[in-house]
Amino acid sequence: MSVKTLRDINSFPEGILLKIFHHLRDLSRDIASISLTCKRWHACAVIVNYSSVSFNSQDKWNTFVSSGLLNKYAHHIESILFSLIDLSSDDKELLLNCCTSLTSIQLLKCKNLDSDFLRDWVKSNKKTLQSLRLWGPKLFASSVTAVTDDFLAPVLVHCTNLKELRIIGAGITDASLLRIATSPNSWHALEWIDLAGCLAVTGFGVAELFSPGHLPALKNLRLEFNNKNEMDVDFFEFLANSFPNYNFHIVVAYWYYEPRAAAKYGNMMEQLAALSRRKNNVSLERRLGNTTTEEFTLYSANS
Amino acid sequence: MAGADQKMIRLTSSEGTEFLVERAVVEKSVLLKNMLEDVGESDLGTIANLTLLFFFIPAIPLANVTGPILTKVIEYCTHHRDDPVVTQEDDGRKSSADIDDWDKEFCKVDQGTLFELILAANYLDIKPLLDLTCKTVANMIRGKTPEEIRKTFNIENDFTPEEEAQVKKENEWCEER
Repeated sequence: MSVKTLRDINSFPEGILLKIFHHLRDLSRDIASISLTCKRWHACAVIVNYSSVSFNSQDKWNTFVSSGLLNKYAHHIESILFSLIDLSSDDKELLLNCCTSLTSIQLLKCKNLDSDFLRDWVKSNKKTLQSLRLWGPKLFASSVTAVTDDFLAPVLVHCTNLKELRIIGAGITDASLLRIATSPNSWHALEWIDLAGCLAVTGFGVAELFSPGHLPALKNLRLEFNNKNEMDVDFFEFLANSFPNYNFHIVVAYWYYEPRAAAKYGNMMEQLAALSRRKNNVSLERRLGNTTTEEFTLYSANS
Repeated sequence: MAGADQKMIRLTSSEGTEFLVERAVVEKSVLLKNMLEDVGESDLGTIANLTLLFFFIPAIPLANVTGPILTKVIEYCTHHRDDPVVTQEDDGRKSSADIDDWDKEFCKVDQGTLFELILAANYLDIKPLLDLTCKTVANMIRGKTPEEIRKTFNIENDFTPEEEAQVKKENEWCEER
């Protein structure tokens, strides 16, 4: 076997080229340059580019569909995110037909969602889907589809393979949590439940998630402080003590308290901060204004 | 004194050059670590007298790795021998700029050597070295035009003008983010 002294970069197997390009995947200009270098690099750039797509403006989504890119590259898409997108019935039809091996679906404050569509879409991705994230309208954006118990119930039936379920700013109640906790098909892989901003959920519903024999893989819960529904300092302390193998991420929204009782807020924050110092399975996330840092990042990508 | 009872492994490069390396260093390679586990402890022996026992240490032939490259790989693994094992998660999320000085210096080699290192790291399954070398190549691509990239890596443009126009059109969508 002769030893080549200078290797050509294109003698690399595709996996290595992908690994190199992966480091540049957040830089659309570099990926564009890569795609124009030669045919082989173009094929790799397509994989890097389309494995995870996000649509945070209606224009971007409409262009993607009208220029045929969705049809052409749908089989590369693993993770898809829609933020503030109005999905027409044609769009839904297309998604149902094209995107059937997704690992992650994120629908943030979308319009015209319907339960039947989401049920069918989740069902057709059941084998591969690991993560589902839904954001309801929270309080203000009224044209956004509300995520309620009735909306969610048919969808949940096909979610039993999920690793991560994030339902945020939704109008769901304990009924949905009970549905997850007592489902006849155990959610064997579910590690993450995020219920931030679900202000109708109570401590009793959350406690259901710890029913013995259910949700065996659950490790992380993200919950919003809400003392009206027993989601208060005592409750979080109880959770942290009773379930030391779980991590609890507590979201606290300053804006609920600011106008009425700043002093009360300060006192409560102190207690929570003390709890998170005392228990290493409790972390605290302050929400200033409407959004947490993560939510802000997702939003700021919009403009 | 150092390593008097350190278990040693012999590695043989593609040209037949032998390298005597501490087992802890060799085990940075997942491929070799698994191999050694399969062989088992007892067969390897402990070194009391290096000259005497040298020929009793089993050698692992590495037909895909040349001597100079193996030297570099051993240098890397020796420097990073005490690093914690990185988990599979979150790879590539870190920015490509965060390469430390030693690693940066380590990667100051000609393109051919860098590519050989990538292939060796891939073959031997040394994830941090593979990440480092791939990042280094990514940094060579960063900010360049397609023509500059082709020049840097000696790549031929095999697009027809029509194909090139089509790719440009598709890219418009991607750049809109």
